Amino acid sequence: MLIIFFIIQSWATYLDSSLAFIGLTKNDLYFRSDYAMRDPYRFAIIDSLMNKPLEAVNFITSMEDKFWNLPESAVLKKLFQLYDIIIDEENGDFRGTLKKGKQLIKEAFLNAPPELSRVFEELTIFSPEPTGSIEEEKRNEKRQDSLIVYLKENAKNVDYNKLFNAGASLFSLALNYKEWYSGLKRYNKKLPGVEGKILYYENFGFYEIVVGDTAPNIYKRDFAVIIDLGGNDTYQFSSKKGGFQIIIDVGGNDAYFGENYAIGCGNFGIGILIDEEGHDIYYGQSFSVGAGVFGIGILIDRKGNDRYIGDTFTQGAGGFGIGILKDDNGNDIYEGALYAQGFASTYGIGILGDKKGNDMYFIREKYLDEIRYLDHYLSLSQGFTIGFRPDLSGGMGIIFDQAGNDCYFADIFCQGSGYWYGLGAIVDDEGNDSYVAYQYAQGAATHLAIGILMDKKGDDNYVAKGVSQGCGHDLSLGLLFDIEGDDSYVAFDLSQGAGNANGIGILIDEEGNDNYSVKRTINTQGYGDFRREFGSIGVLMDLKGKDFYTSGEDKSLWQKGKYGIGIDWE
Amino acid sequence: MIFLLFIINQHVDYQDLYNKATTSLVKFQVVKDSAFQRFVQLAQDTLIGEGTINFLISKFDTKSAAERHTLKDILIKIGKSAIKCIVRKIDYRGSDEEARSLKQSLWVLGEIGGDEIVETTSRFLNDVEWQIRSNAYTTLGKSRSKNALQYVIQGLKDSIPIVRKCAYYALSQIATKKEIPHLIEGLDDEFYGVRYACVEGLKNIGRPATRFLLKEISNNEFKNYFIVLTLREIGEKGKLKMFVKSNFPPVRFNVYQGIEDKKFLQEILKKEEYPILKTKLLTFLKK
Repeated sequence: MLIIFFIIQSWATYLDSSLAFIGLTKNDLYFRSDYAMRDPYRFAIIDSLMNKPLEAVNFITSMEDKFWNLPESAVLKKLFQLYDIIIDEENGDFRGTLKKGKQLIKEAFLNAPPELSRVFEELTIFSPEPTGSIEEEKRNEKRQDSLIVYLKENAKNVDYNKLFNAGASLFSLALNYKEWYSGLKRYNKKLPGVEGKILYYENFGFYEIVVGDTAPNIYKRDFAVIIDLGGNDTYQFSSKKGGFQIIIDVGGNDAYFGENYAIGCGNFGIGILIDEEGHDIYYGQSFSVGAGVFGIGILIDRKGNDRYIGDTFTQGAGGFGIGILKDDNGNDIYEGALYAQGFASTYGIGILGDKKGNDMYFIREKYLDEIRYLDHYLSLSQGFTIGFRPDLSGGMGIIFDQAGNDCYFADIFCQGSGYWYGLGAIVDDEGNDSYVAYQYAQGAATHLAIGILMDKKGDDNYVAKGVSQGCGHDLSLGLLFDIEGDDSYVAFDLSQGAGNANGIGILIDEEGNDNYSVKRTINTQGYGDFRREFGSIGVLMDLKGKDFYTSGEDKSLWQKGKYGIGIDWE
Repeated sequence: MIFLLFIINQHVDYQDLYNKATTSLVKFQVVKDSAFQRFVQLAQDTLIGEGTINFLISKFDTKSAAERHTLKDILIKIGKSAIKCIVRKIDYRGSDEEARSLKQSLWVLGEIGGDEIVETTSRFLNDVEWQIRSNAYTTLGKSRSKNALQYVIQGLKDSIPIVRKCAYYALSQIATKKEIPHLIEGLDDEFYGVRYACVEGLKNIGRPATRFLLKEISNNEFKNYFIVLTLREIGEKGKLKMFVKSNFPPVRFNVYQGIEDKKFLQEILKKEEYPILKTKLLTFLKK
């Protein structure tokens, strides 16, 4: 077979040409989807992407395009399609839709045991205290195992068709709230549970609607619908389970405080929060700030320099449901501790989308990674997914950041990383960005998963220790793809296009004058090890620009063992 | 005294020891290592050795990959005395369709190796699950036993690439000159794992494979790549020069890596037009 080497403007073609130098083609880059028994909660798209892992690039860019360019209600419906559910919502009047939404939510969980919520919580919440003894460790493992079995058996009793139907209608309603309240007869009133004046109140027995005026209000009760027309308001949310909550705040610098399961949280229900304007603070605990647990949680902030704070499962986090946090403008700060910032658990989709501004994404060091280190912490965040291995697959955890000079800080398992039959990704379009992490990060994947970090433009810095920067471990694809800009890559070991235990690790840099620095040259910069009697694949590929390498050189190629290749085309 | 020791040893809390040997917590690494050694010690005891090994085998069905690795490591240390116990229980596949116990059994048998595992392992070569078949072929390869040859050949045609790879791997470890044609055929298999296994197998056979390889040179440049690679691995560097004129840059790259004659490389440099290969040749010449 003759392969004709023309330099064509296509990374895939370059990749094919690069692989030929180690006797491979793109067709060799695949995984089976049946290394382990398939659980009922694995997304069909994940199976498909495992067979053709490079298609994940097209998939994620297509998702990004839809996220930014389709109407928000259409975006939600596109996500439903990933569950093989197609929703044709019927738009009714405001009250009718609320009533129908409540009914659908109730029906969705009719056959689901109430313990499901507690079980998922127990599996998700970590203790910040290290495990005291081996006996405690084994007790916890045994308990975890029985909880996972319970979850696996009973989660299928949720009727997602009905749940998503309710979600679509209520979200549409929330987006079009102006149509309803503009025709309302208003009055000035005081109401228990609200400080400040309200313009409208309605109690239908199973829900209350309140409309606050343009002066500051403090909301101390969980009304089903709050529309606040302005002013610097304060919201105090308690934990919510079931039903729905819609909060629309039209203007002002607002503060949202919540316990667990609050602030745009759908916990066995639907939670929607839209803040139109102002510099706001969202102070949640766990399962908060755009989180969906057997539900849909959506938080949209349209303008202002905002601060988002949470602990576990927060800021665009979905598990057996969908969690979305979307910020359209402003220099924002995102702070979490675990399972945060575009995170997905089993059967979950978690998306954090930030359109504009210089943003900081920060994961606190709170939960010790005690099976690996005494001095590093689990992040499991920032475009990350994990299931419950080996029983339950992961989902899709994604960050889309469209513009701005952004900083991402985390520790272990983060920044476009996947674990166990899921997809974790970051797509950052523009800006001079910095990514700092320790391990399993920046386009890394472990144990039958896909992790992608794609940065389209800007002079970026990538700093990590190991198993990072395009590293695939154990039948996984880890891809770091930087398209444009003068970039700097710094790592210690097993990084920068490294494949381990039959994984595929690829680092592609298309353009710019780049610097690639590593401490340990033996297993970095185009390296693939030998495991299970065949090779892992590692590719470092730079297409253009004047570049510097610890291992290789500009306009040349080098091989690390039989299965790793580093290649600088121009 | 012996009787006293016997009584003491009878009260081994295997489960507690197992918990310690399989802890994932970094801070108990010393406890873990100690428990690991204790298991190896107990397994070698004449009185309770078999009971110890049977206890370890009873854990093969664990869902924890980390535990399975530890079990494998302990049993490797125990060595051949574990084989008969594993063989005795091998027909138990496991508590669910994953068949973890059987997979673990085959894995451990392979890691221990030896002629005595061949017959038992061969029973699983036609298993309906591809993972079991692939484990079985790998185990036969690791046995390094010529007795396995008769079983391995059938796997070369398996429809699942990974199973084929395992069969070719097995062949690569035990092939004789008679099996050269099989290895040559695998050099352009669709799966790179097979291709590389064939390179390894031909390398193990050595120079007798050379004339067969040279007969396979054709217009299939992708296969030529593996022929060149194999010739390099065998040490037939003199034969590489004929490939310098290949139109396929990866073949030429392969050749340049195998040639030490700097004068020859200088001559090639004058003719090489592919930019990244030119740079590479300059690097070779500087060394």
